[in-house]
Amino acid sequence: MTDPSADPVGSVPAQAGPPDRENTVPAGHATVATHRRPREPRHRWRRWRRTRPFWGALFVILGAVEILVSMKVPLPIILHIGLQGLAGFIIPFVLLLSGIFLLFQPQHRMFYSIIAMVLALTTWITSNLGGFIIGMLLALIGASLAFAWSPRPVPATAPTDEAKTPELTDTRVDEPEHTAHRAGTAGT
Amino acid sequence: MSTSEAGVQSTREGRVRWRRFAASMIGTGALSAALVALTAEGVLAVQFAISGIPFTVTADRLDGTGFAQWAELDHMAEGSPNEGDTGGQVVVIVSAIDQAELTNLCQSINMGGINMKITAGDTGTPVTARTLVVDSDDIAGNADFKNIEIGRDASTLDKVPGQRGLIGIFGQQADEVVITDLRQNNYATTAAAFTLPHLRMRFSSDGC
Repeated sequence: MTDPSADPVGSVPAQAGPPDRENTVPAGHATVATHRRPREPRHRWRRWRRTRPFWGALFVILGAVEILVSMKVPLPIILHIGLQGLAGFIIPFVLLLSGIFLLFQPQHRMFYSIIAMVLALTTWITSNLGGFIIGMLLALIGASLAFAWSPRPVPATAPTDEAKTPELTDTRVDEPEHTAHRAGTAGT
Repeated sequence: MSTSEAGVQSTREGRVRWRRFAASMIGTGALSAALVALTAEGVLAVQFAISGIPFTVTADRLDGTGFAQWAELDHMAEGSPNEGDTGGQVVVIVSAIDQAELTNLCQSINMGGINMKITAGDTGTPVTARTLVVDSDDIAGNADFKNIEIGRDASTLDKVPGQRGLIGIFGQQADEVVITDLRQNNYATTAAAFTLPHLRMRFSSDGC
């Protein structure tokens, strides 16, 4: 992962923010002027991961799958219980969908992550105590990760060295994100 | 942003704001704790549907209203590690109870070496279950039935709404059943509403 030689290609100006605790790749090289799209598959994969709440979505999907596996019961028996029995399947299934949508529609991550939180909590009642608590915890961690994920703010001008100042922390960083997010939602 | 990534907001790289993550985890954690607490109080009923994994249920006493029992062939998922020499099929006894009360319930699920152990109903308030359907290959205990009909065709059982076996299969049913020192080895359990007062879940190396 920490391959500094890859950075001039893989980095984008927005990476010049505070040091990233999620990814171990050094976030420097902001002064590199070439911002070409990464071509190598590995870089493209890494870029794809970083432009969406990847780990959050992955945890939500894993949690939902674990709950569904714990629920594998012949459908006729479930249908005997009735609508409530069916809910035991539907809720982890929709949880799985919300995880998938977190990957492919990251601009709607607030909506999907809150849906995932509510559904994960609901599986405690409907689906074997949330897949014996494991799946529920995975999905809750994932939903919180996705909820807390946000794109780096767009710099007003071309990135310069002062954008690197790590002391400009969350409060300031969050503000442009909200507006950007609203604009992004309205645009779609 | 450079021209290649300008415009599309979702192509910007991002990161997790850990403070927001912590706040969200505290919020959802508190809600989950509330759910667990309500379940452990016996206020909130949960729903169970387990299948394909052998697990053991023991209880000091089971009081059931509306009881039906018949035999069935249970199929495992293809390639199931629990298949053993059974060829993936086991003859199981299906017990259906409309309303059940279980005292001192212990349920352990073998998850490959480690047991997930659930105990409940051991402090005076019994566990209650509605439409409890259990597939077991081994049931032991001292049973006491009221108004039992033995040898009734499994397809005509009517003590538990919606629960009956196939035509031509031996079945029995009773208005009420009391089983003490119950021990079941189950393959599948479904219950529409299970209240679990004094619920405790833990992982342990030994089962019930």
